[in-house]
Amino acid sequence: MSALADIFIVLLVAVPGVAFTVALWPRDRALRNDIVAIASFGWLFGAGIISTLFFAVSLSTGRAAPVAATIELLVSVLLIAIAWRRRASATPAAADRSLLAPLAFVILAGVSAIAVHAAWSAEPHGSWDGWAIWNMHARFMFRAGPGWPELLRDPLVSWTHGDYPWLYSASVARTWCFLGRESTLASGLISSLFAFSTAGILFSVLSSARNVRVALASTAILLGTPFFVQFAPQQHADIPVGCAMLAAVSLLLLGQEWKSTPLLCTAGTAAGLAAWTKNEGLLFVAVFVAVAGFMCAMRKQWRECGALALGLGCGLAAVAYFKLQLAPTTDLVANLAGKPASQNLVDASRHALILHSGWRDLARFGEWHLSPYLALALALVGPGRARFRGVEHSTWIAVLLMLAGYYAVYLLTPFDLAWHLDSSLVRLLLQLWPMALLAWGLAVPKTPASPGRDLQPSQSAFKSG
Amino acid sequence: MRFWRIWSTVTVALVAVLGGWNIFQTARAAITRPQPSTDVVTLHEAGMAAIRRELVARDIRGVIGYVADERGGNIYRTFEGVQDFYLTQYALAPVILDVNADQHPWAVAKLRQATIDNLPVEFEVVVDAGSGVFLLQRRPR
Repeated sequence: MSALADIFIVLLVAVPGVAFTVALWPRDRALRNDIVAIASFGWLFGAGIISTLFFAVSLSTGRAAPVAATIELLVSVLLIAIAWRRRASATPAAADRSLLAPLAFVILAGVSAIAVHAAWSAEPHGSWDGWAIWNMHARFMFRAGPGWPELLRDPLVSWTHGDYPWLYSASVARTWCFLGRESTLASGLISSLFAFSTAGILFSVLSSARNVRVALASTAILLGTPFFVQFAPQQHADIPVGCAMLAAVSLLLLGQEWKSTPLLCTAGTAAGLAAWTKNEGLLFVAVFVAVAGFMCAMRKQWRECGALALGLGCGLAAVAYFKLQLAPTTDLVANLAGKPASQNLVDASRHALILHSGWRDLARFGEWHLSPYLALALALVGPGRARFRGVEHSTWIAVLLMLAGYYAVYLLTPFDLAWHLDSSLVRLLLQLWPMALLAWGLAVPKTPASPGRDLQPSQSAFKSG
Repeated sequence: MRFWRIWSTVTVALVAVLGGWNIFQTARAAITRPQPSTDVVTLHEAGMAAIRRELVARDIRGVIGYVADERGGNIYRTFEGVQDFYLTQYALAPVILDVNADQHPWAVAKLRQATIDNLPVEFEVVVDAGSGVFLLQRRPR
């Protein structure tokens, strides 16, 4: 019975997120066609909404549960009402897709869930960083009341990185608070649902941008990455931040192609949520602003640029307040002061070590039973027609810019470089893996039999709905 | 053109089959792999439960000392030392642990090999939770 309560409270996370997604989803689209997309984006936005609300409430009162529950309920009702009103006045296209494709996705996800459950059973508190950082933060928030920021600023616990953002930890603390107890099932489920949400976004975007065949292949590779699946319940923030990055790029793509300004707003929000999830998300925000800003500027889409900025501002609000008012200095930055960074830049041995580690970890990070690289490469061979169209370029550009950013961070790191690479590089690759698979799916040659179905450039102007 | 259409269909199908194979093998390995009886974090949580109850009952907050087989910063010299320290902090949060135990009126001890006789003389045992776990209070001067 208590397990059912845990699952129910966790699933409530998705309610405001799904309502938010539906409210901003193009009104001329049948929701049934996009059910996987809405559920997947909805989980991410739901976690963003409830973690932000609980973060704010936890700072102001020791009786967080009733206050947070009331606010969450009001926000959910409001968003449902907005979504209902927008859809009621819409004339969506008839649902034209069978449920076979979503069913195939559910089967892939269901089989993967077996491995996810086994990994959670082996380590219900998560692996090292899961309990030593992310769930530790959730415990401080849950157990200490409004004084938690002061405690996490104490230099004695600097090793738990009190400067890390709060999307995952506040989501867990909120759920424990509502349950009145700490539940490893709840924290494991929250962590795992980000993995399935990531797969759902990949599947649905490629289904729309290309076809179900490519979408299923790409999703199968993601869910067939043992490291991704076994990492899903380990209660780190790497998969959630990868989910937010993928969502931001995907919504940018869908928003541009469907000419939907509200969807571009959600793309900005998703990018902001990446920064609210993990410090690497701050780098992603810079990349996203550069890529999306460039795309909008090239097309002189100033209104759309404003929508992106508005969404980004909403997504960044909580992390900006946290970083500026509450967080201790990031150790990477604090230790950088006074170090001769310029020497690191020209140190050939550092470049060689980073490249060597990158090659080594790229080859093995997935822990595959059968490596998919050759098959992925073969599928890209074909007549050299334009693979990417317009804004689709943002996918591979974002991956490359993120890799360049990580490279620069390693080059400048004040820590022992070999240790830093060994302790983090595979997780950084995991963060970018879903976005790389999206780029792969878009790069597969378009044959006459498999044109992009819904993303053909439209002549119509941008729509507000 | 027809060749490339077939090529694309076959190679994408190959990718899908490879992904499906990896999903299946990962699930199969998960089912057949023997599960460990209890993970180290859960074991540590159980060992620290009595100490956590006592800290809450006595309303002990803020910073307390941490005593291990190795003293002070020496706990960082071994993996086990670091793991025990971090796990104890995880179990007892939001109380904060300081490896320089002699600066605090209360301390928690997590000993792997040392016995009760090896505890710092300035502390007395308030709770013996078993398995080398103790709650300590500084003796009156």
